[in-house]
Amino acid sequence: MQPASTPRLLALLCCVLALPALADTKPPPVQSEADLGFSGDTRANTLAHFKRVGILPLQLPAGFTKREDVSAAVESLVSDYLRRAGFDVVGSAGYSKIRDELNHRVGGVYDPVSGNVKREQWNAVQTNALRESVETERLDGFVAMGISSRKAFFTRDSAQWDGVSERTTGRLPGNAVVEFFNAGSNNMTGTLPGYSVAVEIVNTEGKMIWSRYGAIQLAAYADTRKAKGAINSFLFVKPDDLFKDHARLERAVRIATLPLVHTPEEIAAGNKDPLINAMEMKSTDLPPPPEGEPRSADSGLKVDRDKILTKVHRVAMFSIDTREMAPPKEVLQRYMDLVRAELGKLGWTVIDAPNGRDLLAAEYKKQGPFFDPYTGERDEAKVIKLRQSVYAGLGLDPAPDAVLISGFTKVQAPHMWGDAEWDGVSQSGVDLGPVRKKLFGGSANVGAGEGSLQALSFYVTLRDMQDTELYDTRGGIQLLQQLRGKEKTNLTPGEMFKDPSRDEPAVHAAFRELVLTPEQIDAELHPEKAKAPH
Amino acid sequence: MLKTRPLKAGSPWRCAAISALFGVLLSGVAAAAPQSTIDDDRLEASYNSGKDLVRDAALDTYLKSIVDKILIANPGAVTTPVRIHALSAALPYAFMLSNGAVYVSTGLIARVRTESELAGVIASEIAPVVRRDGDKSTETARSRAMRHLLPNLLLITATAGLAAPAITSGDRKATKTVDEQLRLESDKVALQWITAAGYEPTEVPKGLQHVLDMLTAEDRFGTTELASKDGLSARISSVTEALPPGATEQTTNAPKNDGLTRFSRYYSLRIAEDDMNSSGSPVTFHAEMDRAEGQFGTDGLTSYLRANFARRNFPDVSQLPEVIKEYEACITHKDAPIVAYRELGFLYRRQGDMDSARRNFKEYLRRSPDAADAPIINGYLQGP
Repeated sequence: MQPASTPRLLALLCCVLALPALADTKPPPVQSEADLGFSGDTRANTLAHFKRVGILPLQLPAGFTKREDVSAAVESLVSDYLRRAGFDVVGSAGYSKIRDELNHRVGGVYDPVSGNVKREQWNAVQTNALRESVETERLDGFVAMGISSRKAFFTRDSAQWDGVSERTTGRLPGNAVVEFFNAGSNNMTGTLPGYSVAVEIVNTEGKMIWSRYGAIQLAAYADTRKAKGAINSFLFVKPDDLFKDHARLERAVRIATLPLVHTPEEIAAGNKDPLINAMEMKSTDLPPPPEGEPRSADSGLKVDRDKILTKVHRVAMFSIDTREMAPPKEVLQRYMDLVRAELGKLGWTVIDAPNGRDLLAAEYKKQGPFFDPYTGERDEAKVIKLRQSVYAGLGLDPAPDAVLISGFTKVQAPHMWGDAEWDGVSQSGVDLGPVRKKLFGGSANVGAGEGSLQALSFYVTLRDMQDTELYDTRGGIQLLQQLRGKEKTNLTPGEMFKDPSRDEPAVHAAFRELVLTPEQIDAELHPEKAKAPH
Repeated sequence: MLKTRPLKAGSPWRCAAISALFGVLLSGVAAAAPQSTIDDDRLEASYNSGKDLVRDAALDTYLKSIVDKILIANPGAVTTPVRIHALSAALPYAFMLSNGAVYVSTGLIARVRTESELAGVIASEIAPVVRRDGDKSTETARSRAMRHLLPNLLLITATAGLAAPAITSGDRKATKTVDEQLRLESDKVALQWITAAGYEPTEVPKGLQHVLDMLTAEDRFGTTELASKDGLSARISSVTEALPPGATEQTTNAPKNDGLTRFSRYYSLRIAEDDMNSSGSPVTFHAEMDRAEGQFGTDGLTSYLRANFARRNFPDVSQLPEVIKEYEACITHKDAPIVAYRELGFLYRRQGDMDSARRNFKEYLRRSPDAADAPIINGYLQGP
């Protein structure tokens, strides 16, 4: 009978569909100890020799060094997992105290004139602080921790790196129907910036014995609902919103310390356990990640444009800073003329103050030092006072309302498929010609992938006579690297400044926000809007 | 009359199929695109401003003197201006760009024993560029591809594409044979050049064999020609075959190796030190040190490096006496680094022998009163 055969058929179908799942129950191969991060010794020896370890202060990435909340949270988590692995753990406070004492004993590890680290003193302080900690605390070794920027490889809506999988959208999944249609429209692949925690065991003589990363979170998202694949349409997490998610920090430390807590066999056997294999965690097991937002280029206007225009009419222009890139004399002259032309649009008077830069340097030398030898921090109040005295002593009559400092600087230009955009300009990294956005015959080349290229920009800083920053931004000049496939080749000095047609847009991009009204900027950057029917 | 019909737009599959077919058939032709010299100029600029460039004027002068000897003895042989620099790398390599820039690695300088060996390697990098072996190889591949275009097309069509892998493999073999032949001819030229410059050509294959032996002992190979087992073996065969018939070792007027010894020793020890600091394996480190000490003798610096390696790798306090012994052996050498006394001070202090610790700390400060860590060590002496 037909009805009777239907359940049998269904059962058979279920069996057939279940076969792959059954086949998948086989545990993955046991990872080698080297794969799990043991480079200086075996796992057994490491656990046997390093019974009592001292934690070193967390190394935070640039821009986050004041985040003591993160340092405390990560140290607490690492200590907890190390104790689970059987270690006797000594916190970082003792080491920090010794290090600070030694820092004072050597008279500081920073050069008070330049603010740079004095390498020999730095090494002496670090090495001896470690040695004293070993002797005071009877340590067998140290645990170093850091948070590093990492590349997360993504396909469609899944980014994977350092033991986790996160949604590239930065959003929790919607219902099945929404997800089905979203998946269909998302074919993006590439890398996103992420952060991971690194944990290392080093012996008392500084040799690394074991190290491993555990992913924390993405620093940017690729959301097809908002981003259309252009390079600047990734959504970036605000730095203040990073590292605040305790659940993700805990997950990162758990992944990093996993081989200390569990044997390779236990890790293989626990492949389906989300507490061992974090890839098995569902997005809903964690709090929603912080929101991302499109990165708008930081405004060059540091005070209201109207205030600047009311206050400034006469500007002293220092000689162009050529420390990072020294172009031929005629190019320098061209840039001076272009600056005058841009500021002339505002009706400003530009007076040359070619000795301004030298005066500043001489006064720095005379009135310095400006840096704290123990912390490397600059005495900003003292610097401002110095600058004010230099501006007043320029000997210009009548006195200018502001000084303009400008120069050439090397920056990183992000590119997608070879088309680079930075500091208000664009250039093809493939043929160094203009970016041509066409479906056929365009400058984009998928084979070039995505990443960044070194580029040259023109920076301008406008300060009033009290040294208040009024305006500060850059205009892109040209790429300093060319792509050959995905490889980068550095341009030779003879290839710089060969295309004068790039100079005017660079200087204009640097001054755009100052010389144009917001409406004029919009019209300039989006000419298609003017043509569109109302 | 043969009429050609342009491909119609809108037939992407046909285009793709034809592209794939011609991809196999014309692979030799495609490879014929000449390498842009601008790329080599950029590469040279990158190397010369990169962190790996060895900024050692004495070494540059020495390397230039070798190139000059070869060029002066063979006037007109090389028309491109040649300049030579060293790049810092643990593995041996040497190469020349088409614009005349030659680079040798410190890993090569560390492992060659005579100036003839080094001159041979440099000359055998210059010769293929001067003789344009790359262009000849590409041209031969292109001619072969054009000659075989029709038969291969028929074969691929007849076998419905099954013959494509065999054709590709055959092409690869043919290219390899041509390249080997070109290499041999260039090696012959290179050996003639160095012989004319007063170097000993029979030392070149021996030198390459020595490099291979050293890398084997260090258990460290790379992927480049002079750093891989296969690459070095091929070079040894080619250079041996390129020796003039009946060539035997002359004891001779070949230049003395005083200049080389200085650099070779220095870079051998630098490589060993870098390995030690980057957690290199004991096998590699000790093989490097055995080679250096076997070739240049034991002194304060080699003893210090061995003692340092032992210190960095001792797992517990029970092995302190062994490490202390190594440092004590080090300071018996007159040229022992001053920091050896400081290290001994710390080791004795850790062992609880405070008298020996103070004695060594004092000696360190006596020899290096202005050291960056002098205030710290002084503090230890004043403490309990």
